[in-house]
Amino acid sequence: MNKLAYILISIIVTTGVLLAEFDKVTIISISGQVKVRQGLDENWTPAGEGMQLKPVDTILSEEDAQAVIEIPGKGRFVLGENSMLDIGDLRDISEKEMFLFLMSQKVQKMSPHDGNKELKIGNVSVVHGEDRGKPGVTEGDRQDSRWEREKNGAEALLQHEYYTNAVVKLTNILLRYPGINDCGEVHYFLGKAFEALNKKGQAVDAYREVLNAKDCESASARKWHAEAQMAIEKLK
Amino acid sequence: MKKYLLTLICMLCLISSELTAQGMTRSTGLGMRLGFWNITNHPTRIKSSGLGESMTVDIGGVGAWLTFFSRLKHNWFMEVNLGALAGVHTEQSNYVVRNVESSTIVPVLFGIRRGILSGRFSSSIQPYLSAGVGPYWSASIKTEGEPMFGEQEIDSKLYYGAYGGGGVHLVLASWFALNFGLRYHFVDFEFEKGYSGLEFSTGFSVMWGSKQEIFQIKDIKVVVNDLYPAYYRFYNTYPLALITIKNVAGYPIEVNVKSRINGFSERVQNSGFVKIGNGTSRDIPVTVIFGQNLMQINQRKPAILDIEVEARAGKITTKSVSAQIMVHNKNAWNGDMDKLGMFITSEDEEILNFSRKVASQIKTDTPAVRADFLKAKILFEELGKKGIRYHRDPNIPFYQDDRVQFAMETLEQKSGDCDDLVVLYASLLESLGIETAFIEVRDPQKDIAHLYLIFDSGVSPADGYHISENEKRYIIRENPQGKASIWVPVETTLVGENFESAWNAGAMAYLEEGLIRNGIAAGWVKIIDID
Repeated sequence: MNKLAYILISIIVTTGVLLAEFDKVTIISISGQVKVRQGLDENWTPAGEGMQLKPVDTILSEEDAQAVIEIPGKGRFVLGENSMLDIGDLRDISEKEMFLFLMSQKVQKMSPHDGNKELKIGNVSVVHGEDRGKPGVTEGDRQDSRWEREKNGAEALLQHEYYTNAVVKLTNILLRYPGINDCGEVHYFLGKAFEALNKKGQAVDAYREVLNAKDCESASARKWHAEAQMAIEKLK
Repeated sequence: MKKYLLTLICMLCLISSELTAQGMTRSTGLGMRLGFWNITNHPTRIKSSGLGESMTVDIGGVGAWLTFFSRLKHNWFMEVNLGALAGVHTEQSNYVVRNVESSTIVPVLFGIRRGILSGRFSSSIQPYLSAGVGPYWSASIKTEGEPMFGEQEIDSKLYYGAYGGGGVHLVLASWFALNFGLRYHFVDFEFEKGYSGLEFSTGFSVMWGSKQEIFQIKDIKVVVNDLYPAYYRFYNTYPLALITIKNVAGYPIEVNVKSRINGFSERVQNSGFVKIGNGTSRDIPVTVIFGQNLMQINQRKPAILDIEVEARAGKITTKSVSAQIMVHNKNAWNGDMDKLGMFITSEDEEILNFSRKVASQIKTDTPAVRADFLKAKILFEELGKKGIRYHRDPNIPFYQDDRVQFAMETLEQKSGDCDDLVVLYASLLESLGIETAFIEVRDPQKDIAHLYLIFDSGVSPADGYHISENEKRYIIRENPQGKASIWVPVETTLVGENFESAWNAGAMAYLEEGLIRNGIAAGWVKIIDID
C-alpha cells in the first residue's frame, strides 16, 4: 500500500473520531428555561440534564437562564442567558478553515460570470416584470430577538476562547441580519476575535466598521467606539 | 511613333495588372537575352560612298546572355550571367574587304538582384535593380589588308569588373516572363575607358521552383478535442482551436481564418482580417458557428474541422489545414459543472406551458412573500404526481461520459438520475423566473459525486420565518448588489416524495457536508450559479 493510501485512511479515521466525539456533547446542568431544537425541526423542546446533543442541534436559553454543556476533550461550556448556539458552532475550526470559510463567503457574493462563459450581448437595457404586490424587507421584534440571542451565543464562543468559531458565527450573523443597526457591536466582537488570533489587519478592519456606526448614542455604543479607537491605535 | 509606343506601354500595363497580375512568385529562373553593348567605341552604322566602291560597316556590339537566378529571401535573388558579345569594324574598297577589326567580350558575372516592388504589389510589371562583379574575357582580332593575305594582330586579355543597373520583368505566367534590362559595365573598374559602357538587353525568362510563401502555418492547437452538442452556444464564442501563423512575406500582411465543420456548421465562420507584422507569428482563435443540427447527434462520431487561412497582400493567398475532433452524443456531459447549466431549457415552449399551468394552481390570496416558494413546492410535487422517479444512468461502454437528459426528455421518460432531475427542476423554476443554483458534492469519503439544487425564494432573511422557523433549513446568499435572500435546498432525487422530505434532505446535506464538515470552505461542496 502506498503512502497516499495511508494518508487517506488516516484522514478518514481522524475525521470519523472527531465527529464521533463531537456527537457526544452533553447538557450537564440547567438553570431557568433552556430549550433544544433537534436538527431541522421547526419546534423547540425543553432541554434536560444529561441530554445528548448532535452537531446539527441548537440550544437556546431564555432570560435569566443558563446551560452548561460538556464537550469531550474540550471541557465545559457555559451558555449565558438569552443566547442561542448551534452545537455545530463548537466544532474544531482551524485558522485555515476559518479563512477558507471567509473566502467562500466572498466567492458566493461574486457574480457567477467567468471567462469561459459565452459573451452576453447587451441588447436589453432593463428586464420588465416586477411583481408590484411583493412587499419590501421588513424587520420586526422577532428578528431583533433572534439576532440578540445569536449575538449572545457568539459572545459566549468568544468568552470561551473559541476564536475561530466566533469569527465564523459573527460573519454569519452579519450576513443573516443585514438590516439591523447594532451600533457596531458585532464588528466589535469580530475585531476582538481577530485580535485574539493575532490577525491585526482583519482586526483593524473590523474595528474601523465600529467607528463607522451611525445614530448610536447609548453608553454601550460609546464604549465600543472608544475601545475600537484604542485598539486601532494599539494595533497600528 | 511616340503615341504608338505610349499606347503599347499602357496596354501592357493594363494586361499585366488586370489579367495576369501575379508578381515574381517562383524561386528559380533561367533567362535568355539579346544584348546591345557598344564595345568598339564606334556607332553601329554602314557608310558607303560611290556605287559601293567604298564602304565601312560598324557594328558596335551585339550578343546574347544566359542568366540563371534564384531567390535568396523575399525579393532578393542571386544571379549568374554568362554573356558573349561581339563588335565588328570592316572597311571595303572596290568591293574588296581590306581592314577588319573584330572585338569579342565574354563576361561571367555574379551578382544580386532586388525586386523593387514587394510581393504585396501583385502587378506583373516587376522592376528590379541588380549589381555584381566578375571576369570579363576580351579578344580582338585586327586584320590590315585583305583578310586572307593581310597582317593579323590578335589580342586577348582578362579583365575584372563590375556592373550595375536594373530592368523590368513582364510576368505573363508564373513560369514565364519577358525581360528588359539596362545596365552599365565597369570593365577593369573603369568608368569610360576600354569596354566600359551601357548595355541594353531584352529577352525572356523561364521560371520554376516553389512559389514564394507569404505565410506559414506553424502550428494548430486543438483546444476542444471533444465537442459536446449541448454546449453549442458556448462554442459559438469559444475557440475550438488556435492556429499559429507566421508572416514570411517580408512585409506586413493581413490574415483571415475561415472555419467550418462539415455537416454541423451553420455557415463558414470568418475570424476577420488581422494584421501580422513582418517576420512575426500570431495565434488566431478558430471558432465555429453551430446550428441546431448538432443537437441531432445520437451517437458520438468523429468530425473534421476544416480551416482555411487566407492572406491578403495585394492578392489573396490561401492554405488549408484540418483537424479531427470528436462530437459526442447530444446528451453527453463532461462533468464540468460550469457547463451543466447549458442543459437547462427554460425557454422551451412545453416546459413553459407545464410550469405556468402548475404555478397557476397557487391560490390568489397567497402572501406575495411566499409565492415563489409555493410555486417551487407545487412544481416539485407535480413532478411526483406525473410519476417521475430517480433512475441511474445507463452504462456507457468504452468512454467516460456522463449522460444528462434535457428537461423534456426526463418528463417524457419519467425518470432520471441526479443531474437529469436537477436540470428538469431548474428548467421549470427558471421558466417561472425563479433563480436556481446547483450544489455539487465531491465528498472525499465517497467515490461518486452528487448534485442537488437550491432556488431563490425571493424572501429576505428578515422574513425568513415565512419559510421556516429553523434557519438551518435555508441558505442566505447575497447577490452581487449586496441584497441577501433565502435560498432553499432541495434533494431532487427524492422526487415522488413530498416537498418537505426533499427540502429537509437538501438542507441536512448542506448543513452536515457544507458547514459542519467544512465542505464549503474546503471546496468539495460547491454552489454553481446558473447564468
